[in-house]
Amino acid sequence: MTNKFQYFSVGLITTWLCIFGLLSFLVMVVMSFLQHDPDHIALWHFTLQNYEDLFNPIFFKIFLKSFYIAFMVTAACLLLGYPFAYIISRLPERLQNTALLLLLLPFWTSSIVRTYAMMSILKTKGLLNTALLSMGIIHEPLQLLFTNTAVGIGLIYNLLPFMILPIYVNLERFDISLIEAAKDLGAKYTTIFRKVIIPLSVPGIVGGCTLVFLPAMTLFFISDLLGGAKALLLGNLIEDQFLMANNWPRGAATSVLLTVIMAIGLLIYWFKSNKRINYEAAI
Amino acid sequence: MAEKNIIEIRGIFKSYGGQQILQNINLNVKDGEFLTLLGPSGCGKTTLLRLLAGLEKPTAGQILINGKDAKDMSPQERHVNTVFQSYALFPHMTVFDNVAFGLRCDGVTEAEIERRVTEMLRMVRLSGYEQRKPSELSGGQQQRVAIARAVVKEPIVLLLDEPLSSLDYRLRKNMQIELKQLQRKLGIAFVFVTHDQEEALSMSDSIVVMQQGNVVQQGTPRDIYETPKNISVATFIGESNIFDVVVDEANDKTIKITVQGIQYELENDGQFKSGDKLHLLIRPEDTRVYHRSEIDDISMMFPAVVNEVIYKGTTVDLIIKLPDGKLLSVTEFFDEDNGEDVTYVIGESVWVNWPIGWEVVLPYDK
Repeated sequence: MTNKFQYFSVGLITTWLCIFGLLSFLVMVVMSFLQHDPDHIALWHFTLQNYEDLFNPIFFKIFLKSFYIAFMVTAACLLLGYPFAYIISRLPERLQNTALLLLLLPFWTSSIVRTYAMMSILKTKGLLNTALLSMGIIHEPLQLLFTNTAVGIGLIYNLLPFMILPIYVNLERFDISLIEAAKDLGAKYTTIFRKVIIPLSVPGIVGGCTLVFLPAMTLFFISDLLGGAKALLLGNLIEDQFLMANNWPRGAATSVLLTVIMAIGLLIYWFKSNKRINYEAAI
Repeated sequence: MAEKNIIEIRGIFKSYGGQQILQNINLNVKDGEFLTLLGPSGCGKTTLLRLLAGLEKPTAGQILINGKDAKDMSPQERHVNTVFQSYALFPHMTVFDNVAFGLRCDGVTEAEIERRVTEMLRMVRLSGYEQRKPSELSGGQQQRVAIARAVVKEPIVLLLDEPLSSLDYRLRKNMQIELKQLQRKLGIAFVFVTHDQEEALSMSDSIVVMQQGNVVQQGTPRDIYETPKNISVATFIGESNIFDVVVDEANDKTIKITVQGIQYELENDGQFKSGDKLHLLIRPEDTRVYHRSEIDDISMMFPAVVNEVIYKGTTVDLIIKLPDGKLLSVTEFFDEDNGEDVTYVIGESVWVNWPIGWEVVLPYDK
């Protein structure tokens, strides 16, 4: 009974991922080697042209900028999310559940709707400026909407829970006796944090960063809505290739390149952590 | 052994959320002694250890370490270190770094750390394992790293929280001997927490028996085993055969009681009076069993039937059944010199007695 159920549930998910994950990715890979044709989706003719196109300085600039934004967003999410995750992991269990519920509550609304809400907060006569003006902190409204800052704020807001959750899961089952042992051996709290807690939560940090970094490069609707018409993120570039330029093969090549870069990053971490020790198993 | 008290616990109370964990604990730890806190789980022994370690604060009372109030002492001033039940080794650090951790916290120079850690690892027979990670060590080796990590700080008292409970039987036996030897070599006091009475008896200079947040008895292993203070200590430490009896007659020196229809005259060391109820306790190894054919004078003996024979190598353990259905445990030692026949068969009728004076008489409880 249990066995059948196991096969069924694992099989279902595997099938699902094969069809909608692997298969569609393979279609992308194939597509990226096909020739562009304005009248069709693509021409059945092998070419490397789409990848050569990506070595264009303009694409390179967008790549770099997108990496930069994603990096800053990830760093900000880590700085904001780590203390938050640490604090809730130390709360009594009932409060922990409440805190997690509050954290996840916004997800009950579509993130596009929430991004529109963010527009109304950030715009020139929006909530934020009105509040700051009436408090006398600023005398002229800030230009926030349609700037990189707005995109950054929007991304951080949307992605913060993805940083918090993996770190929280890691810290929540952190062996308290390690902290007590460090205390017993005379460690100050800062030392305990630096030498014991942070190193042991690396798997959570890596998990969180992975979950934040990739979407931070590709959540195109956020930079569409908050960043104005400027194509800031790699996601916008890909979107434009498909929908505006109608160049599916090049869009596919851009996507594949992004996937390859992320995969290399993950593989490096995976090999490094396997070669050293498996923290998870040791805890 | 020095007689100086290195730790004095005075009237310690501890409660969590309205629940009393420890009640008025008074206890001294002498310099260089192996003291064991023994009791069933939930008796408060681990809490007491954590108070000594400074990981918890007492609700009331005072702990003196080296004559000074430990209330506001930093770990550095305390000079007390702990070996945790789960060892709590830092999984991301090598053996060397684990042992060096406490010294680095104290700002000891790297050259000095190198020397002390190397020496310490040699002492616990882990030389050559410096660069291993804890996950690459066996349970016994991890245990020794945990000890080395605490001892390298040169504490005046080492606290050990059930450190052997997760080891298998053989390793546990070996580690008992090793710990005892280490303690002698270091000459520092060990406060050892366990629920295993055998472990407590074999390792300790002094045993503190705890029950429900109280210290019930403190004494040498022999005191505790031979003259337990009450019936619960007696039943917790070792096996015993217990008869609930009423005093027939009593004077200052002696009492008369009846067991299995036979009246015995015993020493009155508990100021018992006629009509008092009491527990008569006889250890299995003090309970004597004789074949029918061996005995002529049965005046002070009662009959029983062999119910079970368990061969243990050095002893034969019997379970015998009295006419009223009560079961007794008996341990017979092989003694080749006096040629006593210790071969019993199930169902055999035997005679039973005990050497008068070897029994323990305790006031009735429960």
